[in-house]
Amino acid sequence: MTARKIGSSQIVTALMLLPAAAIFLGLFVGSLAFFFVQSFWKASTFKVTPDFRPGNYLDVVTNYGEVLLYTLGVGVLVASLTTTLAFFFAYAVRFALGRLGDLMLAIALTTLFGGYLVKIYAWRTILGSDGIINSALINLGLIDRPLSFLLFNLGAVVVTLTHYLLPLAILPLYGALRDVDETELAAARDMGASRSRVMLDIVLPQVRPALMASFSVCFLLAAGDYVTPAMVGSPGNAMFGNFIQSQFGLRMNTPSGAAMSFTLIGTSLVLLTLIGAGLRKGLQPR
Amino acid sequence: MQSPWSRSFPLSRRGVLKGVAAAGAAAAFAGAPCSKAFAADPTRVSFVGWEGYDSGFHVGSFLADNNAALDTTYINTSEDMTTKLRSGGLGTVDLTTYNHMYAPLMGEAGLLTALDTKRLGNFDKLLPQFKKMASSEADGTSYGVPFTFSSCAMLYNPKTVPEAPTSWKDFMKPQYKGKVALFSDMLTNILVWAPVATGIKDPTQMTKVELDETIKMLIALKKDHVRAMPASLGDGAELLTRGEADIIMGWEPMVSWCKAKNVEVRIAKPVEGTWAFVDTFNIAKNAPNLGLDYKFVDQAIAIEAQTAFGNSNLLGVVNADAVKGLSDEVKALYDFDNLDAYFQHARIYPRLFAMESDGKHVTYDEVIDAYERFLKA
Repeated sequence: MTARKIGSSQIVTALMLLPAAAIFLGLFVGSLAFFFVQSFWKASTFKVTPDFRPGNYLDVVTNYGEVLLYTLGVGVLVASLTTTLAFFFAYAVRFALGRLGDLMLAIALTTLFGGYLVKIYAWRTILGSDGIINSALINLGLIDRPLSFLLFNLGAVVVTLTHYLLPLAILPLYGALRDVDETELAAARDMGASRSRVMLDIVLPQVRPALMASFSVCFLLAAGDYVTPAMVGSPGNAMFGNFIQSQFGLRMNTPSGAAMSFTLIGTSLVLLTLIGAGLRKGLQPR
Repeated sequence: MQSPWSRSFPLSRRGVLKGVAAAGAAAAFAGAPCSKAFAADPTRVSFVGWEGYDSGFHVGSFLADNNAALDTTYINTSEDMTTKLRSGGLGTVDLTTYNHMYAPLMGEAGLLTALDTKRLGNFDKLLPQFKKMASSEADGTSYGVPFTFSSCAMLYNPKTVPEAPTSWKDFMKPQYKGKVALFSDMLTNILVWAPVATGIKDPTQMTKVELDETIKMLIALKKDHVRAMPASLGDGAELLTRGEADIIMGWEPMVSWCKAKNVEVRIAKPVEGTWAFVDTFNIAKNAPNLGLDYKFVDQAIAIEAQTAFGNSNLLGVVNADAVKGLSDEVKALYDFDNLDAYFQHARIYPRLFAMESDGKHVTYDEVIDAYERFLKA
């Protein structure tokens, strides 16, 4: 009787999962598998030939290795900054702001509704020559001509991406911090632990999976982005995604574009694994 | 595109509801005989091209007269059309709008139908430059009928640049350091700057040495002079209106866009000239509605359609009889009083870089490789 019940509930579960699994396998795994196969093919004069050419990956490393490293560096910088800011924000909401914390959280999350491009244009308005910052500084008499270094450089890319990714990083961290028992923290402090010791030995080890989740989301989105650098970056700030776009668009070279995409996915996974291992080692509960 | 509803027919929600209710009641009373009055389902014509380029099809009663409906897919880059055609579009797509340099190439790649211009009643009304162009492509075979033109114009703000620049090399003058902007498009940057760097007349026939000289100049510009490479034409205009740049590689309609934001922008005529964009209408290979597609292409170059298109998009037109219907603003932008002089300055190149090496000139792939070198520098 029990076995039959379990069996039927498993079937119901399987049926409920079926649409999501079909979509995942069909649209995500299927298309990725197709592009993975294509990444070994050959392209010439806008035509793709089914041929085994592992050299596509060697070409990526040879021709785009430097850009790849730069892109991964930008991804790490944006993800580190965003995750740090998100952690302190979520910590304040959870432990320090009381009812005001809920309001702050709601405000932070409403920025998700703004849309990606809107945020980019907002930062162009803020950082531009006739933007809010320059206008304020000129009106205060602190400068007599606009500061041009605020926009169209790496700093503008980092600021824009951080703003875009911040609410996405806050969510998992706040969820994890809600599960941290305040009595543990109070007990540690009663026993003489400093604030930093409580943070390092109790709070951070408990939210480590959330830290990693936030960091990963921010890193992957930043490293794969090509719109933000094109709109607020300098002409010299082309990221790996810009060259992938060029392969798929300008060259119609899907094999090379696919090889570049999988190289980015592969190196990102390796990097995240290393960072995850580092966090696991460094944030041990004591 | 401005919707015809938005200015002429301001509608209130109540008004719409009243109209819908009245229409519903009328339909209910009319019953079956009413449905018979409707024609058969319209033939759906698939258009893949730039936004606004389909505006001529909505002029007058063209669609109704041909019992046709337009399915539009707007593109972000020319390559989007090729992607669409190569990924299952052949047999479903009817019309595309390739730049004239791409059209013969795509025709030879089996993506476009060779056109019989005798089937186009309005073809003889084209300005001589364009009639000749349509029939001289790809050894006499025409894969595209020109229907609009413009160019990469050097635009400057007269408030900050009191004397009109006379050369693209003015981008490198110390007083404009950090106040100039390039295009973000590979083809435009190469075709405009190759004559500046090397003096070549037709940059599609460059040698490797000339290409390297061009890239060297572009890198020097990027590293030491350029403020930005705007991601879109709208962004380019914004650089001028917001004072981010004083001189840019621009586009004629930007003059009016900036004027609409109360910023005066003028067109300079650099001695090296510039590149003219000529866009064409093409019929895709295996297009599902070939006969009707010819009517669409013919409509795109008809007088009324051309006039409406030119005035609403601020772009040059190719039908000689449509010119008089253009606004003074559009006529001035394209120097219609002296079109020969316009095209002496804005050069039309016959076709794209070679796909296969002839041992002397650079190929399309080599140009992209070199351009990536510029992007990475």
